[in-house]
Amino acid sequence: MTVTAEGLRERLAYLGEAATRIGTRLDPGASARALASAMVPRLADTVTVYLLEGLFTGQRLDGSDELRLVTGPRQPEDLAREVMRLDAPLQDGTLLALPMKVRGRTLGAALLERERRPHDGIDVMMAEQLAGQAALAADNAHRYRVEATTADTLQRSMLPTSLPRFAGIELTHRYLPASDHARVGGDWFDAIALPGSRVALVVGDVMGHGMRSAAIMGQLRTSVQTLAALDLPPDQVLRQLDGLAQGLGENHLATCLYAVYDPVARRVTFANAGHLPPVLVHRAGHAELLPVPEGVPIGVGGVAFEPIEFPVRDGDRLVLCTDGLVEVRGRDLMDGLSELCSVLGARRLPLEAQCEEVLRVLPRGGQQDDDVALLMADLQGIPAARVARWMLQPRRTTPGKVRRLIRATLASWGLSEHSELAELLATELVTNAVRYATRPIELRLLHTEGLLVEVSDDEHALPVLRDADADDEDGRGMQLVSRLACHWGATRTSTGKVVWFRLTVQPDGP
Amino acid sequence: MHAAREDRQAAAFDHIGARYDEAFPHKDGQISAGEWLLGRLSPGSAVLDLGCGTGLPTAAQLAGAGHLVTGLDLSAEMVRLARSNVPEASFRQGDLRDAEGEYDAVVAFFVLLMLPLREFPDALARVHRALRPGGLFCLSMVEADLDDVPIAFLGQEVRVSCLLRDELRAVVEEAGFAVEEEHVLSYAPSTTQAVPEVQLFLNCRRP
Repeated sequence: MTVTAEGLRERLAYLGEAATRIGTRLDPGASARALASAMVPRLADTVTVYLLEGLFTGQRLDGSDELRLVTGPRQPEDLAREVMRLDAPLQDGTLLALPMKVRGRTLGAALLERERRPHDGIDVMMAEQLAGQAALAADNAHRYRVEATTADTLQRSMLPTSLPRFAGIELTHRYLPASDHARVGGDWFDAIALPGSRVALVVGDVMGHGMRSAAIMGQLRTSVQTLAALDLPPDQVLRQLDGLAQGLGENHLATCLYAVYDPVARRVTFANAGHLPPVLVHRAGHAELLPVPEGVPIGVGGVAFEPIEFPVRDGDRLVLCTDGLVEVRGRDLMDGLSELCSVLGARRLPLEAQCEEVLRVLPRGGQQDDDVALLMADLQGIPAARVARWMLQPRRTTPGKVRRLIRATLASWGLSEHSELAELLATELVTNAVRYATRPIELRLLHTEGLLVEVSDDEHALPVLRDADADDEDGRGMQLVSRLACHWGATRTSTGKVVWFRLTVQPDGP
Repeated sequence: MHAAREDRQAAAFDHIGARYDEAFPHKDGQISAGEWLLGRLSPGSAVLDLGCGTGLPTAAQLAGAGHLVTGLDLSAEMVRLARSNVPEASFRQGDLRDAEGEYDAVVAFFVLLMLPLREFPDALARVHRALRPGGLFCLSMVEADLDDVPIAFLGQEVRVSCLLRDELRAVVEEAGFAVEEEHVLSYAPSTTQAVPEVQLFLNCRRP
């Protein structure tokens, strides 16, 4: 058998064209069918391809050896199994059987049947080449799919499935992954309880897609929760987050909008790291993009974030989203945002219904190119009648005055039955505060789902919970608070600190 | 000494001016107290409004009902605003210590708290003297325990003194008033420069 230069060129051209057709598919089935159609009629009359079932489901391949007949007349599956155990092609009369191997693993078998003449050495070599291409393509597609599925799973596992309930605010949220699984990952949202019945709302978007973005999102989300728990002001949360993101390594960029709603003061404070601005839907219906300074993305570093505060009214609705909601290829982002505003402002629906409406109306060209995270909040406020706040000059008599205020106020709230415990624990907090404060201390009572008692003073040092020795006079107070209150905590403020506890309360019976 | 302190307090309110009403738009407690008076005063009664501020809502409410309202405020700017808001009443600069005459009613909303605590009894005694027997006195205060403490208020520093509800009641009764009604209200200002507070309203009579 001789091979002419002309014949060689022709074969190489054939192989090159076939390999391209086989290798450019990110779908195991499509690769196998491309393999068969490239082989017929040149190398075979019929081609049967079996592939591992696991390639199609995005599962790992270690578990099952179940096969799927992808294309061709039904050659026996047993034969395919036998061929898969071979290291080299098997030729038997009119049959040429090829194990489909890649990266040391066998993913299936191609069974070629040709009546006219037996396969010669060059046929076998070419068939082997093409079967190898198909195996590689199938493996790539599988790996890609496993990663995308994992990214989707990872992404979902790191997002809250339901948000906690807070007093003075009603929340709803949606997370929609991109239609193409490989583009999933990186969007997040959160709602975090802060001291004083305030709530932090967070929306962020890690640039890029896939497992890496999903994993970084998880780290950033956890970081934001931790920073929020320190009750840092919004601009400081983003500043610290930026520092942490730079510690995660190079080129991790993310946008993030951090908002704090105070349902007593009725205001929202924002800081922004390059994220889309929030929409405020006024009670009367008009929706506006809030002029929050854009800021630079997390991970850029070195640029200060600028906090901005807006007064809000009860009944206002706040909408935070990621760009997947409003961005359509070939269209300006601002167009998408103004469309969002017009949908939100057009008619007032209940929160859940409005959320559905937004997702139904905003056009994303059928295909959703990117993840969408949407967080909507009805700002309800806490009625003034459920809040009481006093300033008290620090004196020896202050604990007694505090007990009187608590007794009278809880009686007016129908909570007298809880007065004794509240007075006892507040006495501990106030006694500590009075000892070190130089400016008036502040007592605040808040009756929402529980009873919150806060004592603020101008001393920055936080109380320490420690075991008191039998002889210690000090150190018992916070032990008591910690044992008897449902929750307690202490947070630094711009002017000092606030120490608080919460009691579970039932209103007095008739 | 005394005069310098008053000048500083007056200057703070000159700066605050009309922003006071923007920060505290819903003066429900004050309006209710005004209604309590309107339900008891004979037509054309003489009413003294101590610390009248912008004249809103009280001077306007009482003058609008046909009573003869005299307003006093330490701040020249507040007096100017009050004159323009309520042209039918008369206003001049002055404070609690200038409360002289014989009135059918005196109102002092959030004004006693501008004095040091030790001056409360004397100020209340002046109000007592300025009322005819049987005259009515409406008083309000922020509930707190402070004695002449500088507080940031709408961007200005103001020195204030406040009592708790039982202490205020005691000092008012000590001055010879009978307390007919006491109301305690939680109030949320509509500004981020002021914080929610508990307000006390006492409706009293000189026996």
